[in-house]
Amino acid sequence: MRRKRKETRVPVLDAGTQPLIEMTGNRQITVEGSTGILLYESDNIKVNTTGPVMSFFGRGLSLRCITGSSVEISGFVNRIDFIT
Amino acid sequence: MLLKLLRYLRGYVCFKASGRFPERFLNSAAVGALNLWDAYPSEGGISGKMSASDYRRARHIARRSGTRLKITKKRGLPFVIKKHSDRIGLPIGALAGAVLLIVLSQFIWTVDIVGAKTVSDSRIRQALESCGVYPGGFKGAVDVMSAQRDVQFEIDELSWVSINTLGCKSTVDVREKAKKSDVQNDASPCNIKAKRDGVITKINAANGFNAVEVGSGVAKGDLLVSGVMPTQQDTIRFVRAKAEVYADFNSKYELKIPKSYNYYSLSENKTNRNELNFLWLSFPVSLNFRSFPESVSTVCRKNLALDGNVLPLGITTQTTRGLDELSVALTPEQASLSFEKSLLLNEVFENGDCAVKSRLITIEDERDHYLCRCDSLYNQNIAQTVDFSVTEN
Repeated sequence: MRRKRKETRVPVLDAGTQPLIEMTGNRQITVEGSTGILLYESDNIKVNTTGPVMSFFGRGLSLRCITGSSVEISGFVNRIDFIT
Repeated sequence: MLLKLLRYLRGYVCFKASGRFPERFLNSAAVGALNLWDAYPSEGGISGKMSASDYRRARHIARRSGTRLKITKKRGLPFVIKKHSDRIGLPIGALAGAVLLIVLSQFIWTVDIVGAKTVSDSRIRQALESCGVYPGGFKGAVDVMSAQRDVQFEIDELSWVSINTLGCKSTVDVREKAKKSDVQNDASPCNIKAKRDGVITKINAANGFNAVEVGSGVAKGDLLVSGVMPTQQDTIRFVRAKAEVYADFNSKYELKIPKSYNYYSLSENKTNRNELNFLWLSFPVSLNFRSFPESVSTVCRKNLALDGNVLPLGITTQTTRGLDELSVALTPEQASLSFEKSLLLNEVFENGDCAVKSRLITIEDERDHYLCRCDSLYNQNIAQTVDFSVTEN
């Protein structure tokens, strides 16, 4: 008798279109896949990405490096919002 | 650090981007591959830094993104050069300074001698100078191995010489040879003989056979204490004679002192000539053409010292003093005083180890001079050790 195999759904990782976030504690964040800076203030930085808009809240936030596809943020990050 | 240096060399500007959406400028700059750094939000916009060469392109991007770009500071070498471009002396001076530094670093500035105890520094310096190691000597012309060998050959007391030149300073390490100890061979027999004529006054014999007695007159070379001692078995024994033999002897000292004579005395007139010395170069600092018919001169050199190192920069002062010719006529008392001084000097240098027992001074007034005589009686240890060898048949 043939046993019916249980199907499991594996989430698909779309590394080509989704942004990649790399955090070092809450002091440094690298966002790869950014498409632009929407807001740049010392307590809030909003980054537009290929996915949702990311909003980083904290204090003493600054952009250490900006390139066409990545952003590096440093400072004390308290909260990250994903705005869809 | 290296990045900062490169940015300084290329030149960079501090800017402020102001407008309704200054973030658009950041995005456009990132897309346009503009290199921005230290971007931070400031009042009414965003401030940051960018390379000076990118600024022209950045203005175009800022205009398209609707922001106003303003330079707040200019930093870096290109701006410094531009600022001082009308001062032609500055680069020429800097170039001349660099050339001077390169040229002067090819020469020895100071020579330090380490380790010399009994051999004088000046003797070692003299030997080093003949090998080209001296303040002002060209470093490239010094063959270190040959110089070390030559100095060691020239100064026999040195057992090891090492010349180390670091920068413009030559340090010469030397080691002296260990001296042979003055250990006497007490086993070899010897006699005590008289080293001058005299009458014996005292004999302190520690070892040996007395050949003379107190009161006997001896001549130079006479045997005083013998190293050949008879034994009770009618044989002889050779010993090393040891004794102090004191004897009286007479000495005459005569001196003619002219009644009047001329001599040169230092006058108050003097001139100083200063020269600035640098390595082998001398530059006159003060000009003084005053001269004297009779003069003596002294030279004093003072060098600049920094952190214990004597630099080859200093001032040489040559002082020339005029001489006045003076005439002096002596009285008998003055002549006597002068003779006594001369006599004292004679006793110190000629008979320094003698005790003076008596002294008779006579001064005769002759035609153009005083004839001074002194008859002295001295007492001295006249013992002199003379070794002899014994051959057994």
